[in-house]
Formats: sequence, structure tokens, C-alpha cells
Amino acid sequence: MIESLKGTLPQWLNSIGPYADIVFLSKAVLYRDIEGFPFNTRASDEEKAEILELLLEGIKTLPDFNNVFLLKELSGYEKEFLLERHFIPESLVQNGIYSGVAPNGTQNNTLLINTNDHLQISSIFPGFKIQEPYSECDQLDDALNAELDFAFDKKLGFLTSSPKRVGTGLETSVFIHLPAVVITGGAGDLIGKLEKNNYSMEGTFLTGGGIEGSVFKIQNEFSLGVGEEEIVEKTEKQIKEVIQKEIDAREYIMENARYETEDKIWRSYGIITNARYLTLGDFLNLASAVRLGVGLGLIKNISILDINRWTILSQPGHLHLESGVDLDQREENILRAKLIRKNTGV
Amino acid sequence: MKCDLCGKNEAKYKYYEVDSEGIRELHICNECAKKKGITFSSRVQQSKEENIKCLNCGLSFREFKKTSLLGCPECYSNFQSKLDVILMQIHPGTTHKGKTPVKDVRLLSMKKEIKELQKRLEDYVKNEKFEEAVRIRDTIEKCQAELKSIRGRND
Repeated sequence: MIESLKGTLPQWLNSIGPYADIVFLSKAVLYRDIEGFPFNTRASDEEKAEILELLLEGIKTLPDFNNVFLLKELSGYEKEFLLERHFIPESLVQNGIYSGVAPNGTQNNTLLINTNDHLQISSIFPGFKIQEPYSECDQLDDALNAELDFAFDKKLGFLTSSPKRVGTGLETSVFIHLPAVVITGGAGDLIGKLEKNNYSMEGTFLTGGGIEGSVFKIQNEFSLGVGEEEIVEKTEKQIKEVIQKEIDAREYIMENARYETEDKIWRSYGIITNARYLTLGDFLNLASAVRLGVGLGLIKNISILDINRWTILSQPGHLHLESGVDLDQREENILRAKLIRKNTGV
Repeated sequence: MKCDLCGKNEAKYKYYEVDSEGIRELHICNECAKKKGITFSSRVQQSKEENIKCLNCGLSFREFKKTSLLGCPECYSNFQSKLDVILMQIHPGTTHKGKTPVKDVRLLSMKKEIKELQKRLEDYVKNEKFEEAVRIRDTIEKCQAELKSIRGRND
């Protein structure tokens, strides 16, 4: 089903953006619901099917969205593949009979049908860029709005299933790598500080062992009483502060624990490039140290772009679809190790 | 049970605090309630209030409190008085300040035109063609003023 996506990487995995060693990607999402229908929290199956039809018709009018994937037609691993590419949320891997997703040609922009809300318009850019993905979403919103009426109230703005998203319906976020903040014990403080400013921060790779790889998602938790441009500006300012914190923490560990840090980085480099068996958790933590090594200028023969790609390509859905056979856990771990060795030429 | 806020006095009231994370249940004492300026409705009145339902989709306020998710656009007006408090706590303001749905074809094409002009402006600046850049900047400003006036009429 998703053969057409398998062979091509999204554009955001083919280039790097500002602060690439710290910010993995930036994302904007606009939440929209069609007027005259309940939100999907209360919609009947018939209504969900009707919403799906309406949105599919609307999407047809957009020139760059020629592929729509209906989740009910996909296997579990295909849905995981879409999750790993940031096309669908985790809630849809198990569910989503009436859901569909349409990526554009570059796979940077996606239109997601029927989560709790009827439509999520989203755009991803590599590195730290908030304005660009928002502008993409804004244009798609206008184009779709010419075909469909969205639930809107003069006082409250766009109406969404969660009161958190009412108003602009805009969520801006970054996936950010903060190994030095974590090592210096500053993550808790940072979460508290962000919360005060109405931003949330949570680990993006959670396994049984906790947060892996020091990668976090930070996003705004407000959307009413401020315009879109103001949200974009606030997020830019907020994330700049977080980036500076990570830069400061990196300087601190290099001044105070240079040998311990370098040792951890080079050991991780040695293992990741030579391992014959890598669990996802192991990979994420090793890749985090190697990424830090690249960022600090220690490791030269691996690029941030390499690590960004591995992070997506070595996840279960991608490994399973790439191999074309049903892998058990052991085979998956062996294949993951092989993928990294192949890419590093070791 | 001790008060969740001061940790000293016996808790007397159950109190729900709403923030961006969702809804938290707190048990608090008389003094802390006074300090926070909270007045409590009786249990009977409270449970009555929580049983109110959206006239359109049938969602009760109690159900909303469990999931933090509303059932339909009309929930916003049907639960208005209760939601106003929540919205005030989550957001910087209670009135929408962002874009409005674009239905006007002229608005759409003008927005597109401005975007293209801005791209050209960037190119001119990059190539140090400053005279052209100034000219195009003036055109952009004119277009933006016109856009504003069309939007104003639509409102």
C-alpha cells in the first residue's frame, strides 16, 4: 500500500536547518473541524464516514496531494511506518477505521483526517524554523477553506474538540536534543520553567526503561487571545532560550568533565559502528551520544543528517517494511545493527 | 486527609484546578480556600451543575471533565459559563485574535500575490538590486493595506 513512500525520504530528512545539531525538526499543526458535525469524540460512525468523504473531496482540489492512505487498509507495520515519519499520531496505530492521511509530494506537509478533530494540517521543516512550517499550514488552510466550512465563532475563533486548541487552533513544536541539559540535571527545572510560560516538554522516545536518547518535544499549550504570528514569535523566543541552555550546558560539561564526556561519546561511536545486535533503546542512547559528538565537532565522519536518517530508518516499522518479511525482535535488532554498519562503512 | 496546598490543616473541600495539562483534583482546607478566594457550592448544587448536558450532542459536563474533550462546536455555547473559567486559566486571552476563515476569492488571490512579491523582494535584496527592492516593497505595502481594508469590510 505505501510502496510509493518507502523508496523516498521526506524532504526534511534530505537537508538540515538552523541549529541542526540541537533541533531535529520543527513542526506546525492547525486543528480544524467541519461546521455542522460533532467532533469525533461524539460523532457516529456514519458521521465519521461522511466527514472522511468530504475531506477527501476537498483534498482532491489541492494540486500537490495525490496520495491518500486510508488507515483501515494498512497493516500494523505500515501504520507504524507512518507514525515514525510523523504522519500520524500514536492513537491511530491501533485505531483509525475512518482516518486517512495525505502527504504532499515532498512529504513535508500532511493532511490528517479524523483524529479527535476532523482535520490536522501539518508541516515539518528540518532544524529550528517555526515560521516556515506555519506559513505552509496557513496556505493549505486557506486553500481547503475555499472548499469547506470550518467551525468558527467570532469570539472564540476556530472551535476544536480540546479547549486547549480553540482560537487559532495552532500548535507549534520542535523535536529537540538536549543531552547536556539532561547530563547536568537541568531537565526538571527546564520543564517547570516552560510550564510557567504555557509550554509543555516531554520525551519523544519512551520505552520500558524511560525516556531514551534525550530527545524532547516542546510545544505551546495555548492558542486563544493571541494571533498566529504572535504564537510563532513566542515559540521562536522560547526555543531560542532552550537552545542557549543546551549550548551553555555543553560548554559546562566540556569544561568540567571533558574526558568523561569524550569517553562516553567515543565509546558510543565504537559500539554503534561495530555492534551486531542493537535494541531500539540501545540505538537511541548511543545515537544521542554520537550526535553530541558531532555537535561538539569531535566526530567528523558522521553527519547530523546521517543520524537524523538512522533515527527514522532504524525504527521497527521502517525495518520491517524494508526487509519485506515479518521480523521477530531478535531479527529486528540484528537488522538495526546491520543498517548502521552499512551506513558507516565499518 | 491533609490539605494539598499547605500540607498542615485537614482538607475540607474537593477542588478542581484546570491548566494546560488537564484537570487536577486537589483537597484543600478552609484557610487555603479563603486565601485563593474560592467559594464552594454545595455538593448537591455541584453535582447538578456537572450533570448539565450539551443540548446539541448530549455530552455532560461531567464527561468533559473526565476527558478534557468537548463533543461538538455547540458545547462551547452550552457550557459557556463553566468553560469561560477554564479558557481564562489556559489561554493568554479569551477573545480570538487570529485569522478568520477565508471565503473571499479576492482575499485568497491577494494573499497569494503578496507571498510571491515577498519572494521576489528577497531575491532582489540577495542580488543587491536595491532600487527594484524598494519599488516592490512599496507594492507589497499597498497590497497589504488593501488586504486589510477588504478584511475589515468582511468583518
